[in-house]
Amino acid sequence: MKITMNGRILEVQTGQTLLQAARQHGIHIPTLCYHAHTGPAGKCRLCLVEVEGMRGLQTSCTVEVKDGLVVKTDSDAIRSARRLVVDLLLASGRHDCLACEKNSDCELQNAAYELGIERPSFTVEPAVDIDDSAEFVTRDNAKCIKCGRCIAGCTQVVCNEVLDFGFRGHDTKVICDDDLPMGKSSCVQCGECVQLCPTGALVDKKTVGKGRSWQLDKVNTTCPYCGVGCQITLHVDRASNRVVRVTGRDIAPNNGMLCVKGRYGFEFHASPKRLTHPLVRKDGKLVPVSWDEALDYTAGRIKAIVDKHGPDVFSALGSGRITNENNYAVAKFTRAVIKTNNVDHCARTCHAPTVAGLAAAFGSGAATNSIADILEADVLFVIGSNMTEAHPVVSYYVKRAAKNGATLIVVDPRKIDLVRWASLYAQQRVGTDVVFLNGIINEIFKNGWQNEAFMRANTENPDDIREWVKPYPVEKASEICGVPVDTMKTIARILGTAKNVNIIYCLGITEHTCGTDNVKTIANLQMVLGHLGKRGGGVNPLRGQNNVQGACDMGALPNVYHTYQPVEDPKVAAKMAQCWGVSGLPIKPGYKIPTMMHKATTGETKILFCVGDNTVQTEPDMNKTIKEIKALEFFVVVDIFPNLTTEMADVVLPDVCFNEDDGCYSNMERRVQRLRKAVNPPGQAKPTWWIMQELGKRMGVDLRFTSAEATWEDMRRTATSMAGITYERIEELGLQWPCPTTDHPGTPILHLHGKFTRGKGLFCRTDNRPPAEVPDAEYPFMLSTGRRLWHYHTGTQTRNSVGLETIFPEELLEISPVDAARMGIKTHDVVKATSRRGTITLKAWVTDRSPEGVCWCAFHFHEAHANVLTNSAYDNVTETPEYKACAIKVEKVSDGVPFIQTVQRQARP
Amino acid sequence: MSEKHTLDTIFDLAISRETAANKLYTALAGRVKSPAVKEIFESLAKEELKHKALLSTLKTGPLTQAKFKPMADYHVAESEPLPEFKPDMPLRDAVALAMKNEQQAAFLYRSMAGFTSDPDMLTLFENLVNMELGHKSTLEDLFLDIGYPEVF
Repeated sequence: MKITMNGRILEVQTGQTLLQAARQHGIHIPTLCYHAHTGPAGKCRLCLVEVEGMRGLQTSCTVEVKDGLVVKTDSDAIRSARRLVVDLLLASGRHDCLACEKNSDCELQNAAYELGIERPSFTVEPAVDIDDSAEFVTRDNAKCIKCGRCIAGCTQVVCNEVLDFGFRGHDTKVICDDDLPMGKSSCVQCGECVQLCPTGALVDKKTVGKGRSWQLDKVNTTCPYCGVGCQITLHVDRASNRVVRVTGRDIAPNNGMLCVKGRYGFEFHASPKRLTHPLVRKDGKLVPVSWDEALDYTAGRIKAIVDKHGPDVFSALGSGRITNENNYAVAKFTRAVIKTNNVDHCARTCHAPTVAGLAAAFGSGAATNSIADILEADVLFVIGSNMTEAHPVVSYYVKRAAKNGATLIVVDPRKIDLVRWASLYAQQRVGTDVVFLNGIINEIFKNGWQNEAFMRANTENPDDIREWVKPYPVEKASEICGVPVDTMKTIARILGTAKNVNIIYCLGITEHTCGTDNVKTIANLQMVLGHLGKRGGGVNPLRGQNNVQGACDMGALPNVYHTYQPVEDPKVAAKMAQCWGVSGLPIKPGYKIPTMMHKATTGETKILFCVGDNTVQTEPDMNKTIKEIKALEFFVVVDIFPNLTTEMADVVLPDVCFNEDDGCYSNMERRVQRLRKAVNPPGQAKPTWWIMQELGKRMGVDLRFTSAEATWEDMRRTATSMAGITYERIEELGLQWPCPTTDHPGTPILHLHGKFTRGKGLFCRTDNRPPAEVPDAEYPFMLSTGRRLWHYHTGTQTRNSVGLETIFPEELLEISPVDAARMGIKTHDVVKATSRRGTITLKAWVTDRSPEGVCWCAFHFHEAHANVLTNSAYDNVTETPEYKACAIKVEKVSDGVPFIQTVQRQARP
Repeated sequence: MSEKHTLDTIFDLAISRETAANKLYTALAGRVKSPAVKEIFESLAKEELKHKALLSTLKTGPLTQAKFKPMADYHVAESEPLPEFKPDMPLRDAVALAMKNEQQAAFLYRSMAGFTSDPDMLTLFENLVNMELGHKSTLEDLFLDIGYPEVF
């Protein structure tokens, strides 16, 4: 359809408002309450226009286009009306631009400038009303124009549902919960409200006084926390070499949204605690040395030990936290210089069962769909994923879908915060996922809800699964998994009769001794439902760390080169050898992490080269890990901060962090996205690719790493599914692999053509296998572990950023109210948690997030660390440890400070 | 040789290629071990028969009816080596073999177009190239699902 605007004929779409049509065609209409994310509000009345045939001025954000409409966006009458609007808004608040943090970024200021208003015509002196109680956001009510954008953002975009309008008439103001100070409210400080606020009413507290917008350089890059891969802009003060603010970019996958860590956990790069110089252990102490000395010494020791004992005594760890280029560099060094395949990384400790399980069923372990697809599902089945804490931005999509009418089913042993938005919640016992899921599949078959056509056309053995789940009628399954029969029946009905089910899971599924079976059972369920190969459906594991997908893609694995080319294939080895200019590449797959660590105690692993892993804190059973590391002959650590692992190293090499070099990460939806250098690294810190190049050179091999991009190009020369991804192509927006040629646009959805990677899907038989260690009389509690909203990994980044540790300063042991009452434990009492492997002392958090008999804590704080307690028993296919289940006992040590909380807050007491 | 005769010759060549492709895929389907690969080859053999029927119809009609729209060519087939046929060949190689076959067909017609300036013949070659690129594109999409597994 066509309309005429300011004499121009515009092609417009049905359903568009006049404002949207104008924006699409580059015609400026000022507005304050409208934002593309929050939609029309019709509150500020600044976007007034004249429409022929309509009486009076119209708000262009609320009038829909109609064929033939004739519109004027500028006239004396319009300007006069707009001037009055802005005049009144200016008069209604304390809009002191001079010292306001939003000066030059303020949309009200821009409107006043455009309309030529220097001072308001009216004088109203509203009271100063500043809420400074929150850690990261300052609210200045006197600068609020009541546009409602922050409320819409909080309730409709990130769906945290904290902000609302309170009071009436002239007293109307934005409030948190029931008018609590923001710092005392249920606000999780995601900062979406700040990003959407058009004035200085909401500002990033940490940024105040750190530089005007025009004084700061803007560098677009990728967030260094979690696998969502949010696109961010770093606001950099060049003079101080510091990031002073982070904002979300309005592109996929996050579309402007961020979580508290991504937006406010940025100062760690400038921490004085950073490693700045190479360190070599001399007389028992780590002492600073030059790079030449450190590299000569390291290369010399590695060469001497490998020459004497053979290449397989060397093992290396890449990392899910470092760039693709750096993981490739570690993998290439291990294979081309040392001639072993003993390289692995932390996917082993998290999502290896995903790949093993999905590869068995579909032929490939990758997530099938994009994050934004979540909004297109009519049922979301979330199991084993505490996404509001571990992957907050994914949770925004899930909550939004639920609010828009999708049915959200949450299955988790803990009553996690996401349950608040769920239509249905099932609380299965820890470690009973196979039983629960088989019971659901059984019930689906019993009622004929299976997608028979899909199963017949697209799976190899559709009759087997029906037989295999027969021993799991819901009545029997319920007895084992603890989910009521009626709840299981309802879930089966909802799933079985849905048009489009998106299954999302995370480490609650994989970090079990039966992790691969858990994943296979999820694949079975989705193949019975048949919602694969289409928008809004699929099986979508949420990858944990920022680049754990990329570390896998880059071949930091013992059995594949980059882009999953098998090391055992002589043709692949020959290709690599020719392109890399080396000979004798190893054909035998290397050791997985648990094997390489165990072999340290038998003398078969003598060297461990560890990049960005903090192995002591991340492996289960910390005492065992320490014993294994002590048994090594030579231990090298490359990292950005000193930690428990660097303390044990013979050589420590200072690495750069995410904003100190170029590179790229791959996110959980296979999207390769750029990182850009924004600040200079501290001291003499160097990128891992440079370290590997220098070590290779000293050991006789030129790895050809001259820059991050050169390293990427070196990888690309022998890559398959990522051969088409160049820095130039992902300059603005990332590309999703497979992207095999530089012409190819990338692949957002896998199996779109009904074909699984293995041809037809394969149902796999799975049966109940309890955790390796279950509670007994001596250790009566089940301990499960995971990640908190406020922290990441072993805390090196979040605990060195201002404010996150203030909000959540120490680890807490979550315990159920029933157990706590029985033991006389109150929130903040000091308790001792003991497993067969060790003891930690920490404070208690009495919460109904934990069911009776289950405790929970995280691994962020070395002072009270979950991995002192966890069990190293692992999944027999992937060697992924059972972090989610071990037996402990709990004893009260002392009373804590009395704790009173007036509101139930998310993710903290 | 008359113009009509030349066009017929090209059509005959194209039709014979489709027949040959049908025979090839049928033969391959009979020799492979994997049911999934067999299914793919059988399906490709049927497709080739459809192409043959289509070309036969076009041969007797006016050329303007033979409008195959150009498809985006992402050159996936070109990025893969021609796999060797083996009875136990994996599905990935079977699809790669087929898409390479379509790539070669498009190349053949494009090359032949270089030897004529006759507008009708150029139109015919353009259509044949587009037709083969369409087949290639379909197979390349399939290859994306099959050819790059994340397995470790």
